Amino acid sequence: MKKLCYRALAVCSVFALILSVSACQNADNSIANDQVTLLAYDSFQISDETIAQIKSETGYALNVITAGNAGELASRVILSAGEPEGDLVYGIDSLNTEKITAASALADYNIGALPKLKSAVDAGFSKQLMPVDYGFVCVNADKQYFADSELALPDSLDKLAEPEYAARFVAINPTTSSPGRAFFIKTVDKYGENGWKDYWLKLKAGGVRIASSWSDAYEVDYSVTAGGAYPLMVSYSTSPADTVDDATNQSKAVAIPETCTAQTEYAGVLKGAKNETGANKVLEFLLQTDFQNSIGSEMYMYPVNADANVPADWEKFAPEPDSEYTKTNLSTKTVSDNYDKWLEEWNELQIG
Amino acid sequence: MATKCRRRNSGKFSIYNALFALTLIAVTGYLLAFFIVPVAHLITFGLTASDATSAVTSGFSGTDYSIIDKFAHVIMSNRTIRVLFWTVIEALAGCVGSAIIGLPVAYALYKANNKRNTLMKALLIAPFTAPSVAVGIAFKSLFAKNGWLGFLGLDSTFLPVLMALLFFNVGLFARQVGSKWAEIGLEYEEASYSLGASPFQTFRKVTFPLLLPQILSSAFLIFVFCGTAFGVIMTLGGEKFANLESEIYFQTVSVLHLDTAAILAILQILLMLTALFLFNRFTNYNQTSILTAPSTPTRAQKPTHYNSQNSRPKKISLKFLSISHFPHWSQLYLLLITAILIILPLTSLLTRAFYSPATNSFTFSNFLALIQPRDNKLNVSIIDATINSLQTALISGTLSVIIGVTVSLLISRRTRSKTVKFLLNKLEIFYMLPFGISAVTLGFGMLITLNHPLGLPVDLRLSPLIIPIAQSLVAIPIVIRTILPRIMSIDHSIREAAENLGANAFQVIKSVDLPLIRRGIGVSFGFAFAVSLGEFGATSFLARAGNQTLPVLIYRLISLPDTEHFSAGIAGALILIALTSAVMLVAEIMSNE
Repeated sequence: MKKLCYRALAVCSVFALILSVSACQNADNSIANDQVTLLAYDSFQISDETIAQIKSETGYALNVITAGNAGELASRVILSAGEPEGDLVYGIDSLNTEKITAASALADYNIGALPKLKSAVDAGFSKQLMPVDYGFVCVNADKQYFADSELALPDSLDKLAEPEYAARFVAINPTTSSPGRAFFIKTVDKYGENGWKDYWLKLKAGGVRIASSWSDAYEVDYSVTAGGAYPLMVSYSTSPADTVDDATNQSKAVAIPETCTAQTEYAGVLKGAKNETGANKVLEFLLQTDFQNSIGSEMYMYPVNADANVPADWEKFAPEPDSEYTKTNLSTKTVSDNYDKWLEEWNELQIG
Repeated sequence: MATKCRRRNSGKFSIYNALFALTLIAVTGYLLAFFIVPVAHLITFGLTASDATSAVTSGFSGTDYSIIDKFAHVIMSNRTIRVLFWTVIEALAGCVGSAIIGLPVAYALYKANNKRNTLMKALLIAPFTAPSVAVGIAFKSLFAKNGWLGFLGLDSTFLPVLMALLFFNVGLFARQVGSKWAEIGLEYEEASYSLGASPFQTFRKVTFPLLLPQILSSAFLIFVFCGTAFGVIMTLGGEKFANLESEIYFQTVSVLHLDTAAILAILQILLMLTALFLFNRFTNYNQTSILTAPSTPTRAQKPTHYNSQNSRPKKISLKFLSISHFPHWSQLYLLLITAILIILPLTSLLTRAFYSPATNSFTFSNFLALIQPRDNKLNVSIIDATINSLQTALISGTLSVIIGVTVSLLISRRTRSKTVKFLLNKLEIFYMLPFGISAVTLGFGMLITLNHPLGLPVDLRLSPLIIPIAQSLVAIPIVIRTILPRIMSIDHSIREAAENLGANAFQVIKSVDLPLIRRGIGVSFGFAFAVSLGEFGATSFLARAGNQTLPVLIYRLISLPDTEHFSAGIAGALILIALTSAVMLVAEIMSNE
């Protein structure tokens, strides 16, 4: 009996010991200032070679923590404002810049000379958010389907809402998906704060399919990639580069430029970072051509650095849409102040 | 005599009472530190944010609503009412459906046919921890316009949602109830037969009442499980069948309305407490005492022997399919259910995992891409993630069993102190809560609290133990649900007999309780391990660079914007499913020995 007590006590104390030792050990590690922890969204990708290069050029070992999709990442950064999980954040999208700034989750960045950035990129609007890449959300179409069909390729948002197109169109739920949200904001921009509901009601009446995520649409509903029943879907301007037919060297899909909307993604130094100096050094590196060159092939986005390259076949399959189509009239502030209200209204509209 | 002994043990100060108190404090403290404080912190943070913060985190910015106004506003809104309605419907449909379909499955697996059912058992339990994103995709593909079941025209209806919920839970139900069924001594059924009862009468009057505590216990677990379903609801239900879980996700993550989310989290907790309260009212463990005779060799012995009297069907007639002949055709039923609920969606996943869209042919490349981190671009090899997952699940499973068994033992002790009784009663309820609240609430709560847990200057968010701890919170309820009914059904007079023979509190546990729940411990470890292996919600908020688990890796692969990664993710999901079934089978075999 006593033996059993002792054994129970021993087990408990060993557990307690392990718990405290490993807790302390790791707390120590994180303070080590030759490390920089980068908080990024799930699709952030960086090769081991680049991490090694960062180590040799800046002297910092890079840890990457992925924190969910763009929305989850922003929420995590805002919730832990002042007591961040890392030193640097990568992948704040335009929709969340206002909230992140208002929550004072970021410190002013402090980096040396900026590399030459593309003219479309506005690096000066904030001292805390540095643009690192950008992309376009566009409706994609199945080329073969429209070649075989009586229907012409739709060439505007208006066309998409016509019943024969709406019935063949997969949109993505803006409340759960970041491309879904970008497309939704595009419709608000185009039809105005009063007109977007009519637009979505038309889509709904026409039989639009709402997928819960991009993967869901791309892998189940979309005719090009999933053999699904829908030849039109909300996707990226770079998606056609993923469906190139080797035999003909043609993509099976095309992005419709008139439906495109621009998304810029930002990085920033987290306020209260354990290694602020290191975070700035790494941020500086992320803007250099070495890393920027990998953005196209690794993350399907376009680099901000004017000297950086994208995969060679993008010129043919994933050209940047004309800025005349992608510019918006809505200010970031209007969007940020209202999109939660709009999303709830969108939500109601889908059920009602 | 008995009273005298009990008085001895519960008298003034003794080492047992001290240890009892210490254990009680330890298990309460664990829950307090890792669950109650984080969740309470998040809720108060949401409700009482300062003006500056609330501009960012309030669903009511621009208004001067008080907290009470906010409550009224949220609770009265059509949106909340609809969400609550679907939460309850989904939970009820899932648990009632699983019970109705699962009870005959339990019979077919554990009573009608011995040993030969290993494959079936593995198949039925395989879905238990399947990544819900993948399952959602599987059912969505089946019912989509061009899918195998597309001709039914049931896309976007409630049926795919229900089927997905049953996919996860029928095996769980059959397994929990079946393993209890196998323990019921044959002598009760034999006595019933010898008195002239038919198999159906015997089931209704003898077997069913004996199984009822376990049935209710499992059904309750599934109620909670389905009421907090997230992945399948998002994929299959869209906005139409949104439940509290997806609404809390929306409010917390999509629009960062922490006050609305906090109110919804409170609603979720209240709903859960109501369910627990009702559940506790309807089950009184002590009424159905003992009647299990684990020491007798039961199920190894000719379990279907009674059929010999009325078996040998001369010709095939419809009467053969009547309920009282179920022992004969139960295997047919088992096959049918497995084929529709399990094999169909799994096959849909298999075709994706072994199919290359680039070459339009059969391939292993999706699996190979998982092994070579360079090719999957994520810098994480599936082997590392698997080893990491197994390690985490091992720690979490062990933690869960230790804590779950301890809590169950504490609850089952008889004590005279009203305070202790009260505390023990609440302890069980509160240990069930983590299972029934949103993963977002738990994950975000831990995230904002554990940078200084209980005011200590350690950042627990960086500790590798944080993931096993979070997973154990979700797994402990399953351990308690498996162990507690067994402990409660032990006749207390056995313990008293042991005490009369001079055993102290520990000897009673060692020589009475533990041997009788041995099989339950094996089963519950299997479940706890599997739950931890598959846990995605809370883990995803806490996973760090070096300790990605398999479900987190799978989720990332599936959400990357190209088909190769997606297929690799589906291949990973199948590996996870296979791993889980293997674990559950081992637990099954070990607990049989």
